[in-house]
Amino acid sequence: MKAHIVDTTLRDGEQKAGIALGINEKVQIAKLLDSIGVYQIESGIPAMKGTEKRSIQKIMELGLKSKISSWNRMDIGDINHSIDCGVQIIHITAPVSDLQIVSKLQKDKNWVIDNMKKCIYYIKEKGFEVTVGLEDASRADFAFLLEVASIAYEEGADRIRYADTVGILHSQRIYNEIWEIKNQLSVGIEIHAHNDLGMAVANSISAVKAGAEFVDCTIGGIGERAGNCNYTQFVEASRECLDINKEVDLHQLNEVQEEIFEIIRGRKSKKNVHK
Amino acid sequence: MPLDLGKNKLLTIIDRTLPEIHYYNKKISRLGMISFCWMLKEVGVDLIEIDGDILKKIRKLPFGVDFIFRLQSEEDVEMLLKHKIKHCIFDRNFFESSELIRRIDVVSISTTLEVSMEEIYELHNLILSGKLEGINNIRITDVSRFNDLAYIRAFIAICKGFNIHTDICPDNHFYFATAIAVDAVLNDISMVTCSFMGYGQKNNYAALEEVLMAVRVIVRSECKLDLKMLPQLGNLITEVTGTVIPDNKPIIGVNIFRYESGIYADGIGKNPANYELFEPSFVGLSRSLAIGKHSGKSSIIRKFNELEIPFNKEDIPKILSKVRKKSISLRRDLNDNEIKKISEEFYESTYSGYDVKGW
Repeated sequence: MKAHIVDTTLRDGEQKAGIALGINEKVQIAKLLDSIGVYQIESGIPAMKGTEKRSIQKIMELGLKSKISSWNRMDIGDINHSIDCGVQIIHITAPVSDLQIVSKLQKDKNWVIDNMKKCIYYIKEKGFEVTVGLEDASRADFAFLLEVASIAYEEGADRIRYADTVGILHSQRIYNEIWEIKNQLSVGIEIHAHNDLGMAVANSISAVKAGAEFVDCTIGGIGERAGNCNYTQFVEASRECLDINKEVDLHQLNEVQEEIFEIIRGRKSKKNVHK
Repeated sequence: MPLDLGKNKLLTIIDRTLPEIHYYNKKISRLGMISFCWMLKEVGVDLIEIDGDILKKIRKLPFGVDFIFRLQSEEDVEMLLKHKIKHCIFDRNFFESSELIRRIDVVSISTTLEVSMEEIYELHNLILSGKLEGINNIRITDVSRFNDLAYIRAFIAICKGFNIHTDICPDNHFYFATAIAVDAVLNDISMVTCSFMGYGQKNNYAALEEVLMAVRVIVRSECKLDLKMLPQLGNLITEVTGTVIPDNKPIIGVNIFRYESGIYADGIGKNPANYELFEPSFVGLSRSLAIGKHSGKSSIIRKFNELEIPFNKEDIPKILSKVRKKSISLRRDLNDNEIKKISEEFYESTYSGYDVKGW
């Protein structure tokens, strides 16, 4: 069993109200994450342009070992900004709950599917890896969720992200749903758990037990509202419960966490823990 | 009153924050304790755990609040009987070594035996051999792994056959405590012990506020809960223990409903349920819009309208750019004065020579 960590401190984490990172700060944090062996760094949203886009471009120039991805709406304009940055993985988000499709997007299910197909095709044609986020998956009709996941896979998506956007999942349920998705599709599954009910770590562990190969985390669990799956807590729990991540140096991880907190707070750190 | 979970299932919530505060020698006044008890009852706690030291401090238990009293000595038994407390709890040492238990009228007083997860295997035999006669409930502590639940389910089945209820007290060693409590409730456990914010010795417990909200959101949305007192409970805990509640603590963090990102703000504006599991007012909090690096054009417009700042819509993209730059330079979101200043400076430089104030 293995679970690659996708760190989204520089995207979902930075979306926590009141956090504003400049180019240097994002670059420093990316280096620190790379130093602890993070599989993938979700670096931000290039479609925001300006400083955000330039910071992602700077991160790409570092040539880090971690894969670098960007977050996008299902919008060719957004995707073009990501292509400009040259990220390795382009993530597109596809709302799959009736609530978000009707209320937020003000569209319908057919529009979601058609637009998703168009975006996947566009990204693959340009030669990029694409992951598709099933936004608000935990409030979606499961049959529709499976349909969208299946279509995404057939169209060439390299991975599906199950997003518990409002943190409503519980461990039994996420286990069952991930298991069912893996049972029907051979696609890689990524779990993106929010912590609104204090269960993000537990839900992420359950998802991995059911077959999810990728886990979204943030340093300190920061993110929208009550945040995301806490990186350090996930590593600690997974060592004990999944017998993985045993090679992770917890002392170094805690030091890097502190260093990143200092950067976010805008203080000059006295430490220099990254290579 | 136990939470009604539908289909004839009831859930009793037990809180053990007070003994934990006491364990850490934190000073809480008598009135503070009584106030804390009332607030716990308001938010849905059925039984509040106390011990002899706490009872001596409170002196007279508030009417209308139910307590579960921890027995550790003969004096405790006397206090239990004197104060007419209807529920008591004790560990195996006390149960097995003390004759005092026999003095308790189990018809009128509910008894709970507390055991750790490691001990439940031994308990099987004790239950089957009738050696736990007189015990109404068994509380299982140190439940820290999901695998534990499989054993507990089997244990619950045995207990049911002898009319013994099971109370689960999860341990947060692996950050699973709330999740274990929720899973247990979904698998028919009828009693859960937690503490406010999971406050406690060793690894902490399941957080009361998380368990209550999870029951409402996941198990049964119709169950009656009033969580508006949670902020006051939090303030009292901070005052007494010095524990700072993280601003993004689930359910009670002061900033969990503060948002900034443009896409998020757009979704909230159309329908808060797009991104919120429950209304902020349900937990005594409120929603607020931050303006900063991640803001979108509609957030700027909304803020300008709120602050009654006149603007041209075509200028918003340029103003947004200035807002983002300022936010990044300050490494935080902007306050109202800073937003006003950006607007004034923009219009003064854009329309210099014109009187732009108040146009």
